[in-house]
Amino acid sequence: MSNNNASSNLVVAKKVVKQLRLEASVRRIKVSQAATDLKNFCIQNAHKDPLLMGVPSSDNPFRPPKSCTLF
Amino acid sequence: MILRLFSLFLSQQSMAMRQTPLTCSGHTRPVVDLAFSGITAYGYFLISACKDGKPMLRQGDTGDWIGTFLGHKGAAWGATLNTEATKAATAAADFTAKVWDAVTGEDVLTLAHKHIVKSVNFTQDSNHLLTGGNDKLIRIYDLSKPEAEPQEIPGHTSAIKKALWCNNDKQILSAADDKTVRLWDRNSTEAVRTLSFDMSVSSMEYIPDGEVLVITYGKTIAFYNALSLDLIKTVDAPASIHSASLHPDKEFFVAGGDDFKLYKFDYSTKEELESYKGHFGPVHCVRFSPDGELYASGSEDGTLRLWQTAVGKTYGLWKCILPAEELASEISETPYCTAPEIKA
Repeated sequence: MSNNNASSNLVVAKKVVKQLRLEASVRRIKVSQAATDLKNFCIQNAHKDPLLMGVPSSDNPFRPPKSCTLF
Repeated sequence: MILRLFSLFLSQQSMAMRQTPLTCSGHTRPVVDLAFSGITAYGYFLISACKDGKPMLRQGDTGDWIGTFLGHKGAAWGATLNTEATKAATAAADFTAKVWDAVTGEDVLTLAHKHIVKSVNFTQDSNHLLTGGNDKLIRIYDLSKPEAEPQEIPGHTSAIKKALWCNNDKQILSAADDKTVRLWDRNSTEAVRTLSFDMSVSSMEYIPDGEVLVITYGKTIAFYNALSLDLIKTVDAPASIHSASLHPDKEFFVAGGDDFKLYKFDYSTKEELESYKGHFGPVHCVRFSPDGELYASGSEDGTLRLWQTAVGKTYGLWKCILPAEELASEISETPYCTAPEIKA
């Protein structure tokens, strides 16, 4: 039984180390740099933003429906 | 999010500059203490102590998070950096004070106390650490001999809130809940002077250049000569003040407290110059940066905010953009120079 515990602890520990290695290798930048990048992206792409520019009626699935008639 | 009052500049077209603070989030509980380092080759740094027990180190001029010191098992009540920002010290409710390597974030030393530790302060050469807390004792640790017993200075009859080195590390200033502020001689460990108040002192700041001591209690901000403890002047604020800081040039000081606002006063005339809203909770601590260009405030709302001393100046992340140039240029944290709007 102690053998099982030892091997499962080892497995758990190995997983933890692997996870920590992944986390340590993540590319990091300063918060202020990230904020500037986000702002610039939003401003540069504002003309393509449907929420700002509106969606042409033909593409809009939620446009007010024109009345339908059945013959 | 509500913002501040506008300040008017004297110019042909009076322009109003809006103060846009930098909000530093990350802490999950109230921020109770903060301290700046000196100016180093890498700029200056800021450490904040939080009730979540995880003090954070930030770049002083931008507020960028650099790292979090992990290790305390209780709320961190005090934090400080040495002048070169190579070492950090923190005081916590887990009855320990810790010394950290500020470059690697490693926990270098744990100093056990008999009760909650509230205050930590390095000497100028970073060789000794002063601690004070709820066990009513001031302790001096020799960091080159950490296993040695610290020198203890008894005397206060109640929990110590703040203990600071002063007069070139030859003396110690301490403020406690026994409503006294005491000046001690380091060698004789005797109290050389005592100041008594009607109420507990909420904060204390020592300015070595000029030997000024800033003390806050109730709605008052008081300035004393740090060597003689003679009163220089007192200024009353509109609300209960928790912390105040004097600008390095001694032209103004800032204070914050229960009404969530930051106040800026003229030091010579005692006049209230400006007040800024922004925090969502009482302001617990406020400190000027070593170059005086900004001041940082820590609040019950868990954030730190960095405020410009000269609103509209281009510094750090702040860039002044005049309305005409707005559309063409890159926008950083801009205090917009808008048409004059006067708030009553």
